[in-house]
Amino acid sequence: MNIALKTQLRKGAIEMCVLAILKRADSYTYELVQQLSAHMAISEGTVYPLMRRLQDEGWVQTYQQESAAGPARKYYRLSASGTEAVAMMTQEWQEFVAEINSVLQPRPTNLTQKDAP
Amino acid sequence: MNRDTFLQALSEALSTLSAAERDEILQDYASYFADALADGQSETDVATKLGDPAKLARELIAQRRLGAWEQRKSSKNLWALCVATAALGVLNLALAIPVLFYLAVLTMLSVVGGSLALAGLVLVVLAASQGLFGWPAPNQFVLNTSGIGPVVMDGSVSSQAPQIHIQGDGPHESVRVEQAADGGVAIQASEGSKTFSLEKNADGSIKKIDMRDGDKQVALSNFGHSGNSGHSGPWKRGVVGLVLLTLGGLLLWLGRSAFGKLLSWLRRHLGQQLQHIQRFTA
Repeated sequence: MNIALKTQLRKGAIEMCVLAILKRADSYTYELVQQLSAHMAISEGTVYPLMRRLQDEGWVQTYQQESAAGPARKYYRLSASGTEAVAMMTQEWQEFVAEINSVLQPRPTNLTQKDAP
Repeated sequence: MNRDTFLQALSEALSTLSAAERDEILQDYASYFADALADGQSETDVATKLGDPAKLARELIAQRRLGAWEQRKSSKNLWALCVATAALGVLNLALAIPVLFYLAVLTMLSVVGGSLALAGLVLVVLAASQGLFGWPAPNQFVLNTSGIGPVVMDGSVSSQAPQIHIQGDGPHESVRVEQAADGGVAIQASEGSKTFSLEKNADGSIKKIDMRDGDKQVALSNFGHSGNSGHSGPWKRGVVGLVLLTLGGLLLWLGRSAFGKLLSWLRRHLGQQLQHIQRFTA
């Protein structure tokens, strides 16, 4: 159950994670996959459809840039609306985590208040 | 599976996309391979991690179709989207059957509405032309209210009754069908002193029935029609035409608006399902 929940949460949050990485610096698919997979388990093949989706939403733009080895790479850059989107998502995420945490770990003051009367 | 077989399989699975779209995707995956190999990974490892090319292609195609449909909501794009989503296994048969039935009903509605409106339009135009220019003559076309065959028929054909004369044994046995000068038809059968005659007006209504046996006679006439006034005038035709036109237009409008609702429902449904699939396969 726990594993399933984590999988679902990760899938729901992966767009936010990609946008957050792009907020720090422009990047290309392979590098994005490496950065993500350093911290979380992701399925690599679906990153490309995911990037397509972010493009369709207008959150990222692409440009070609020569690479040291091999052909030109497609780089992704966060757009203005993408910057807004990631800010909003991050805020929502933190509110969500705070809500869940306050349920899972109620503060002692709440307990005393509840027990008082 | 190595780099080339992966790209080959992906290319084949993407064959329904345009060459430009396919090349763009293939190029991106090729450059992914290049980056991974430069990073020291083996071709087989990368191909395995990327997953099944056919499954990947299905999702990419569905994504493109949704995009195309959102840009231009044509029935062609909708069909392509339906096919792509069916391949994903989102649109199942249980859903497809009522949708197809509904589509068939709507198609019928628009066909019936279209032909009614067309017949109405023809009638209105003919009636207006008759009223204004006296052309075509009233008996040149006939309004067919039998519910079988075309609503408007060429009246000049049916008003030409055949001339038939059958002579019996003697001079007193005969059957005659003759056309009267006013366009009506007279049918007369006689045997000796017994005769039966029926006269019809040009529009088919009965003018006179006459039965005799010597001095005995039954004659029925004056059925409310007299001569050419039995033709429905331009006014009547015009009104019938307008009613048909309105009815047909109403049906067409109904069909169209229902069609629009169906399309928007389908679009919403497919969109939701696709988004759901994409979110949770990422």
